[in-house]
Amino acid sequence: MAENKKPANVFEDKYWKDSILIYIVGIVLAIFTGIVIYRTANPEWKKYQKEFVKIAEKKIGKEKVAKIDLGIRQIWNKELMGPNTADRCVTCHLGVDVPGLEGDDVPVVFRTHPNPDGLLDKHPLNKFGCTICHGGLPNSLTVKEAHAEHGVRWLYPTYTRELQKKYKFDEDRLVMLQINCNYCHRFDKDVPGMDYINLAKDLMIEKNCQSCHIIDGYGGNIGPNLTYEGDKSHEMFDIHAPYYVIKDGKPVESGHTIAEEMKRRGLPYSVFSWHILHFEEPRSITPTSTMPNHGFSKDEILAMTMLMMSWRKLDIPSHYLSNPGKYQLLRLMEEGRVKPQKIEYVSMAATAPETTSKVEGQAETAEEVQVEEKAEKSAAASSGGVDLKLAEKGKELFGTRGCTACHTVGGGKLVGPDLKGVTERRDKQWIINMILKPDSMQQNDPIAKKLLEEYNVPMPNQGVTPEEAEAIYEYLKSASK
Amino acid sequence: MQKLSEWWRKLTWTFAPSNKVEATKAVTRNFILHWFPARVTFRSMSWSYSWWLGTVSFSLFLILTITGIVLMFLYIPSVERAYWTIKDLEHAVSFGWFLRNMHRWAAHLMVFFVTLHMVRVFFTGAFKNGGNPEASRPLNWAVGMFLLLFTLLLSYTGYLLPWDQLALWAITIGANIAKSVPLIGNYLHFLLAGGSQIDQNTLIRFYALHVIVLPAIVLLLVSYHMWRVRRDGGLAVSEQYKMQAKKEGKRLVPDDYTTFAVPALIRRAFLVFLISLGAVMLLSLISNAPLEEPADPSWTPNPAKAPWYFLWLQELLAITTIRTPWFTINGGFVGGIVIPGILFLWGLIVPFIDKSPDEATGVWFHPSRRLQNWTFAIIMLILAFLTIFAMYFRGPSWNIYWPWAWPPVPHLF
Repeated sequence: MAENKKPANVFEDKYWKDSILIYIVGIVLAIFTGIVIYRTANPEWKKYQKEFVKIAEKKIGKEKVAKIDLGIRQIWNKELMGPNTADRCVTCHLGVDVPGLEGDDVPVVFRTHPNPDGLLDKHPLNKFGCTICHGGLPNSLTVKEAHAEHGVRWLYPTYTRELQKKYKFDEDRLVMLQINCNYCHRFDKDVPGMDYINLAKDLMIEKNCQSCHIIDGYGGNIGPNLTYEGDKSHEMFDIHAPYYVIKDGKPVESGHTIAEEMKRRGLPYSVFSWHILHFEEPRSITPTSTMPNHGFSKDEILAMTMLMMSWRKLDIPSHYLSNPGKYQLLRLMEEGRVKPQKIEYVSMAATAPETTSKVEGQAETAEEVQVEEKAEKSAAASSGGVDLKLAEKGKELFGTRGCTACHTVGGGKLVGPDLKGVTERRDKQWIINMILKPDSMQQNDPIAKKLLEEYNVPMPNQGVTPEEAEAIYEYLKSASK
Repeated sequence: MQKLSEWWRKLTWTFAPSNKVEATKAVTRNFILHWFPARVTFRSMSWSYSWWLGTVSFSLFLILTITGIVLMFLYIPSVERAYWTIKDLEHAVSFGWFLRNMHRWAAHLMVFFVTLHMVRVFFTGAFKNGGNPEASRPLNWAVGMFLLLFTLLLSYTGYLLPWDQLALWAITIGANIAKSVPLIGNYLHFLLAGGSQIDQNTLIRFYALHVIVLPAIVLLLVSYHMWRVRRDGGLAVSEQYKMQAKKEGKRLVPDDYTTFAVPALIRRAFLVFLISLGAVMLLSLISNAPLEEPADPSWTPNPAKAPWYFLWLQELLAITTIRTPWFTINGGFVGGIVIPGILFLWGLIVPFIDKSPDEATGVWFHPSRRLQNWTFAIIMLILAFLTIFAMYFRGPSWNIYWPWAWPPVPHLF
């Protein structure tokens, strides 16, 4: 119309091809938008939900499955998880709270959560959620991120069977998550279902780790403080340092690094692997280490490593903790408001069925009877003025007071000297003094000073009473013969 | 119906004028089109002269503004919550993953393209007035230098917001560069961080800077920057027409060397916007924005690296730090202040010390500007080399490694 009236006024549109380009780019953008919508509408978790519905309908029937809410599902307990995180694991693991999905014909990921020893009655799913026990990253909805298999420095992986296989656990059940149990059960022992951690705690008491390490805020200062060992940054474990092998009782450079040793054994490069190698032979990692090789078995090494990883400082509300008073005591000790003291672990076995404790009780008495018999016999023999009954008690104390960590009797020197024949080398008072107040002896007594120079590791005060020292002396005397 | 089509025509004719009169009027009749000149030279329209890098940069700024406003509804600037709102964006919010990817990619691309734009302007001598007494292109170049600086700051402040390990430590490194400035370094760091370490105070400062202060500054500066281009008579290459006409003693007839900005210029600008959008969308589909584990001030990753556009600075700092058994010279003064300071100042005044003839205005690699171009090219190459070197060849403890021979970093498990 307008153009027709004034043809002279028409301009040449030199750049008309741009319009075509705009349409072409527009089509490309529409395709991109389509892909974006498709991807948003088909997230990874929907695949799992479809699969679950198929399997569950076969197993428990359509009616029951229809009652299960699909879509993004989460467990949220503000008190425990904080304001902005929720466990969305149940979006894919739909079967956890659906009875009837037990059994091997249901894939592990869709199975009903097992309830051994009434575990779930004490830790209801809707209150505790998933990640506090199983590890993993809340809020996430892809396997890779939720299981935290992502990137190099992930802090909280999910303890899966695959992860256990990497560390060569001989277990078909999940045991690594006991690490997380110990966040709240730190001051318990003999906890039902926590066999690995229980074993490690027994070993810790038997070997008296606290004679050299501060654990739970109390102990010797020969080794590093282990109270929050699990919180130590991976950067603090130098896996590129040389690895040593022990030849003729001395560490010799192996020619390769710790990382290469991990690779040779098929272990992942990790702090967990570092602890495994370190428990196996401390001097293979740190050649100057004075920590003795305790000769742990493979399971014991794994258990001890799990215990190390479990010692973390976490902000968990106190009424979720087992024995919150002991956590409070630890905090007060750290703040210097309370004198450092040993925190005794509370046995949970007492609440378990009575039969076990009875059996233990019987065994004890049987042992006592044996000891008494022995004592009578030896008293009759009256060999060399050794009170055998006292010596027997001393032998036990020699183990429980942690002497075995550094000393043998006739087994060669460890961290400290071999004590065979010590009662002949030194007089009784000297030995008793060394047991009762090693610190002042090592400062003042010329022999003790010389020994310290020779062995380089000061003997810690183990809190032995005078009566107990007497018994230990008696044992040393008997063993020296 | 008649009425309806009439209204439609009234609304749209300014975008699609049908004759010369309408094309001329379009710019004044439509508020949005006020920004554009009535006519634009053919060479300004060409792809090969400007590569439309300024338009690309502004398109990215627009994409960032739009995605950024939506993200503001979904993000909480709190150290306890920030990370988890990002996780929600990635997993639970509809299109959240795409929104965040677009924002991230557009931000990186903007830093890249603003830099490229500067390089283009330098190599074409486009900061020269070319004998036009009304133009003040050196001033506009200086405005552009500040725009580059503010683009970097925008990207840097946004880097912290996800509050993951990557963010926390990149910002810590960046803030430590500020700290190494002699005398005022500690005050500068305190001002930036809102305390002695990167924490909630830093996050809220960076958030406020990122979502309002810096975008407002950039918007003001960029508006002036573009208005200035119009006032200076269009792109510098337009001066060539005038110089040529003068030489040949001809009178310039507009139709011989220009076309109407509406529709030619606005259509091509729209096309460039769409291509930029497409590139950002494609990258967002291909590659996800990284999100590492939640920030933890007690776990320092090794090595901790600054954002890539500040890596050259981190590298400069490292190589200007001289360690001898007797004393250590901190690179903070030389690497953190003197060298970048000289570079920026040189950048600001370079149009004034560039004494090349008017013919060199708006011409790629004009022979008379060989010295200037080589100097600039060498500086840019050194910066690029330092960046790439720091990105791929600096491993744990800032030691030099081949990119494929990095020592493995231990995991926890």
